Amino acid sequence: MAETNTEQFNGKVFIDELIEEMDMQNEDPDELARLKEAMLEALTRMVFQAAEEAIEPEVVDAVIEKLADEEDPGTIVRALLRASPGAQLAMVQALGEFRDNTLEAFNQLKE
Amino acid sequence: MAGNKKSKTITVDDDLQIDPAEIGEAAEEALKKKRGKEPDLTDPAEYQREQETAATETRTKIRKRVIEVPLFGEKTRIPLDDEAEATDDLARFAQIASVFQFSEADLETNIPRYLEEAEKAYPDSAKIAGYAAEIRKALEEKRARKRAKEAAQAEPARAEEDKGKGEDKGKKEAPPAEPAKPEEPSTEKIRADIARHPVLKVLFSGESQSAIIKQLRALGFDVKKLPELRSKVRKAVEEVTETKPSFKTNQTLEITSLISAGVRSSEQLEKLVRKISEALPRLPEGTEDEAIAQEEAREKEAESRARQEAAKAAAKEPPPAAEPPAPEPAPVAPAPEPAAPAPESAKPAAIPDLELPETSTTKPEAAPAEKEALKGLREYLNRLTEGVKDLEDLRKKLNAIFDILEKDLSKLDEYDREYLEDIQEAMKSILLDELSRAAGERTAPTNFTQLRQLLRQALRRREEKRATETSLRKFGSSEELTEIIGQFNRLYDKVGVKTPEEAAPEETVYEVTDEDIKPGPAEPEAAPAEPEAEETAETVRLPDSLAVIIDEVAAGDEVKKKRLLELWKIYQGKARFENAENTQAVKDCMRRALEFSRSPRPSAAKTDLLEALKFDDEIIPIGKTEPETPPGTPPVTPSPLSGGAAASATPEAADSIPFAPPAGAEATAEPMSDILPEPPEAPPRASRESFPNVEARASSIQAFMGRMGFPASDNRPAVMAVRTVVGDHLTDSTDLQQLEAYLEAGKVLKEAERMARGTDKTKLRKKYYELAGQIANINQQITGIQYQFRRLGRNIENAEALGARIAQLEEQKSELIDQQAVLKEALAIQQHLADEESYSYKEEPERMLALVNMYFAKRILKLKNGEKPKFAQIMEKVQEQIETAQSADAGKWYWIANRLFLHNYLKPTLTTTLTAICAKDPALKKIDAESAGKLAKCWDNQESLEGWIQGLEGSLDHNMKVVVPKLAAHLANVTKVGKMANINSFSLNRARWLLNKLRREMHLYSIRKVEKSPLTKTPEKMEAYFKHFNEMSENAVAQERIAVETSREYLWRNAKKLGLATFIGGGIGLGTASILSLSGATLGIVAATGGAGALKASSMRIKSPGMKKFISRLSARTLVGGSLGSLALAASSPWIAAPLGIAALTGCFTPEIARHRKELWRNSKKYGPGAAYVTYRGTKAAIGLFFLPLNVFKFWRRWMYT
Repeated sequence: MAETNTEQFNGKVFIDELIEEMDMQNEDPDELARLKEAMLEALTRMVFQAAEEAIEPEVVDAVIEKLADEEDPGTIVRALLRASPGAQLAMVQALGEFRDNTLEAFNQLKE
Repeated sequence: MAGNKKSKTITVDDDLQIDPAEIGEAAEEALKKKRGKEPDLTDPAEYQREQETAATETRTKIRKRVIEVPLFGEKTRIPLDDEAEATDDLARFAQIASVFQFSEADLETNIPRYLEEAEKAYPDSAKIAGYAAEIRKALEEKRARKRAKEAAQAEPARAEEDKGKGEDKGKKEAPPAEPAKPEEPSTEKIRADIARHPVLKVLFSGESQSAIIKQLRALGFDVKKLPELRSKVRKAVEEVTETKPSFKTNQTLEITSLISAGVRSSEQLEKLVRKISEALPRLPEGTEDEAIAQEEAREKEAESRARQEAAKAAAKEPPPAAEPPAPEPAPVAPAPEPAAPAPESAKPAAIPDLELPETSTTKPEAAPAEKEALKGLREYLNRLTEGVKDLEDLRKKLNAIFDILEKDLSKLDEYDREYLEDIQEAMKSILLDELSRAAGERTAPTNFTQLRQLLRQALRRREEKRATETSLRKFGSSEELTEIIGQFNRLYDKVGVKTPEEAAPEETVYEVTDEDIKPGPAEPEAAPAEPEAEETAETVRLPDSLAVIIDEVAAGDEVKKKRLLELWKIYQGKARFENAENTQAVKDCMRRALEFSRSPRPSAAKTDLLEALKFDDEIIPIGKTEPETPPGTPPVTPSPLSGGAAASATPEAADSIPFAPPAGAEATAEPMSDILPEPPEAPPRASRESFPNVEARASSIQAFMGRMGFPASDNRPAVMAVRTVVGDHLTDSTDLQQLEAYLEAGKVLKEAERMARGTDKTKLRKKYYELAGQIANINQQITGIQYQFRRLGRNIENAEALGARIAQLEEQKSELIDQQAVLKEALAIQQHLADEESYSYKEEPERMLALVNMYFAKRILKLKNGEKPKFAQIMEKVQEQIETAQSADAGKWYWIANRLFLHNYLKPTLTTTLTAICAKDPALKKIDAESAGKLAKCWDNQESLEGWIQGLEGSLDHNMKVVVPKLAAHLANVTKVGKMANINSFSLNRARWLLNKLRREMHLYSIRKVEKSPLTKTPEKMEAYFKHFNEMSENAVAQERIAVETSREYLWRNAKKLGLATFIGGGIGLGTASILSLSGATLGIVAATGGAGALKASSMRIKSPGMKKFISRLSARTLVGGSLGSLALAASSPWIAAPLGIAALTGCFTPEIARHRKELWRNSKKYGPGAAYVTYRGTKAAIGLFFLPLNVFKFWRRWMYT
């Protein structure tokens, strides 16, 4: 599993690092922007999918009870993720998996 | 020895940390005195200065309380303020003075000076004067002996003759327990004295045993009371030699207590032997013969008793007197001896030598005494064999014998006699085995004569080794080696100038007697001689170890090397000095070099290893001089161990094991590795003994763990992991001994580390800066004084005072700097420890596991290329091992729990789940039950998933884009932590595997898809890959929604029908496969639907009021499934306006979680995810009470999964 600085996690930085690792940082900026967007979406899917699958029911019970009147789903999600070790771990793993997948694809697809 | 012990009497020591309490106290006192009141605290700087001055004075004063004399290569102190201590030191010194090897300087100047100083310091002490006189006498004797030796060396033939005499006298089986010094005068004197003394005269008369016994009786000895006899003999010896035999009281006591505590294991036996060996060889030379005499006397008694028995009872079979008794129990077992019965009784004589004479011969008249004796004997043998597993059987038999004996001693039939003989044989063989192992021998002796010889050799070797080590430690370097090299050089010079008649430097000649070399180095003389028929120096075959030494001495000088090789030839008798008269010195030197090059010995007993491993930093690894014997090289140096009877054993087996003491010198890289001692190098495989069978191996590991404090019942994961790791690396029992020694040594921490661990970080820092401040202060003072100097240059009186002050300050400063260095190191270590915080272990087994790993890693790496393992790597490994052990443990219970809960069986399996999913989801309609069954088999590649996908009807593209993601989405719902109840737990992991496979297939398909595309540029291709992947994932989400649409009614209908509670409960045990498999998906999506409006029914797009109510009353738990992903995907979610995306993650990871993620994973594995949590714990508790042995489950598991 790749080491990820999860304390100050920033998806964009993570992706930038990945792109650097693939040595693509000097490509055409427009192309790169599109690539990054696609990557960000894939990353988001994988990470949240993992979190969703791993979040503990106990955590959901507790958090939702506390935030019963909360309107902003973003707050709810953040609260859920923060409270759930299982989800966080799953996300950390998903980050690693994403990185592995990306590099695998890159190695097969590069010119 | 004596020098080391003295350090504890010193409170202030340059090498040690200064005791601040004492200094501080003294300083304050001085201040008080000076000012006549409490120190003025208003001016802290001044106060501090005063305190420092006072402290320095105090320190100087304290230092004045000792006198330092160079002795044993270091400064030995005589405490001036404690007479008792000084007396004690001198007494100790007096005890060893007669046996210790002193250097020339010590002998001639240092010791006399030491004694002088001591007497000067305590002129009134009679005791000290007495001890001093004693020591002087010992020294005088030593000098005399040395002179005698010089004379002896001048005439080797005569010396040998003398030795021969000694051997005659000592009887064939009794070589002296210590490397005997052929000191003629004293031996002669003693002999003369013996002749004069009545008791000794009898003992050494050489008559038959019975005659001796008779004479002893006539002299008033009651031979059944051996201790008494011994004390009398001792007294006699004292009378003769006018010195105390140094069977030290405490040693005797220790031995006695060891025996009376019962020998329970071979380790204890070994310990006992060691103790005895320590006690024995320290006998002053003069009393050596007497010691043998004592032993012999006892043997003779035993034999004579047996003979008397035989004679009296006219037994048909004479007792096998050829076999002398085992040395251990007999000479030093004072505890059992009182129990030894009168000579008339049969067995007691047999205890030591295990000759159980014919019991039929016992005389009934001595019944009461005999009974008592029997009781004692029984007790003793029981104690001896208690707890020793190998002897357990024997013990039972013995007890049976005693039963027979106690009933009727006179009427033993033929059967009983045979039985007794059998037992005797068995016991003999077992004890031979045990004892030889205890003696550190690899080859088992076949009888007691050999055993005794081997034991004596072992003792001697240990003694030698200890002496070597002691001297090494004392000189703080490989002085021994230097000495040899020096000797070589001197001899080389002699070869050069061909003046051999000058005797070799005797004072350094190792005291190797002929007995010593006979078994060991005698052979190298012959063995290597054969291969080198040619006389050219280049082709001379040398033992490798010696070759290294020679190389080192020659230091690249070829001529020199040639000459050294000449020496080797001389040693072998292939060359001669011109004069040809005295080659003894060369031989001695070479022998010694050989001895040295082979030591320390591989088979050293455990304690020796322990000692060796507790190394001081300054010891240079002498193991480094030991090269690895190339595999092809014929064994040039026969085993030093395979002496006498054991000569048949493979000679290189023992010798080629390079037991290298820990190499402290190469500790540089990692601070942590510095702290841990080095393990001994791995012995080459070829020379190892493997365990006879798996059980022996397991039991030895178990015994090892037991010794380390982890009994078999300890099933903590770390302990189990330790067992596994040790088992993985273990090849023979010496491994365990070395490992144990290593672990023991690991407990010894350096001062800095102790400080780092024991003291608070801030305190350390504070102290450090405090010291820095003090140093700066002193610097200032020095500068100030120097200014004064300049000003008052002419005033000599003042200048002197100032100079003294500066010197004082400088001294103070250097002390502070030293302290600061220690503190700095401590801080560095602490920092390191803090860095490794997440890897540090609080509990013992974890630490042990880490050490064990470190040990084996180091050993393996050292063999490879001298690398060092990384601390963090080791810790990672440890963590993994613990996890493995833990999950194995948890898995076991989990497995059981799942099989015990009936509801589990009611839940659908993977196949039924898949079938139900496909039946309910219109997009998956084309997958029939059979196909779903096939899919279920894909989880472990029984069926190929790729093949299955290709076998589906419809286009591959559609299948990959719709069917597979959809299946993945459903499976994800089924396996979700919160939805554990929805699938049979046996199938849970299979479902997870299948899910992973489906997802991987999606990823691979995306790659393949892009590969086929006409795109050429990498970024474009990558973008296409991600887009494709996203599309597929999006389909999965969208299809989930479809599933909701199709099943919402179904859900609602069921809810009404079955009742909410049942439904929310997951339908445990009630629901059908179809409901269960879909409930996760449906409920999840329902919740997702509501998620946008955050549980507010009003915001839901649900028209039916009943449904609304239902949704709002859903437990929060039900919300879990499916919601988060949908919530987060701002782009794809039709319900969520707020853009969340990955940004939502920022700040979500708590540092603790990142740091402890492994631990958390482990816990989640251990307790099972989600709903299984309670099940697992409760079940474990319930089952633990009454269930069957775990082996059954292990078997089941193996059966189930293989």
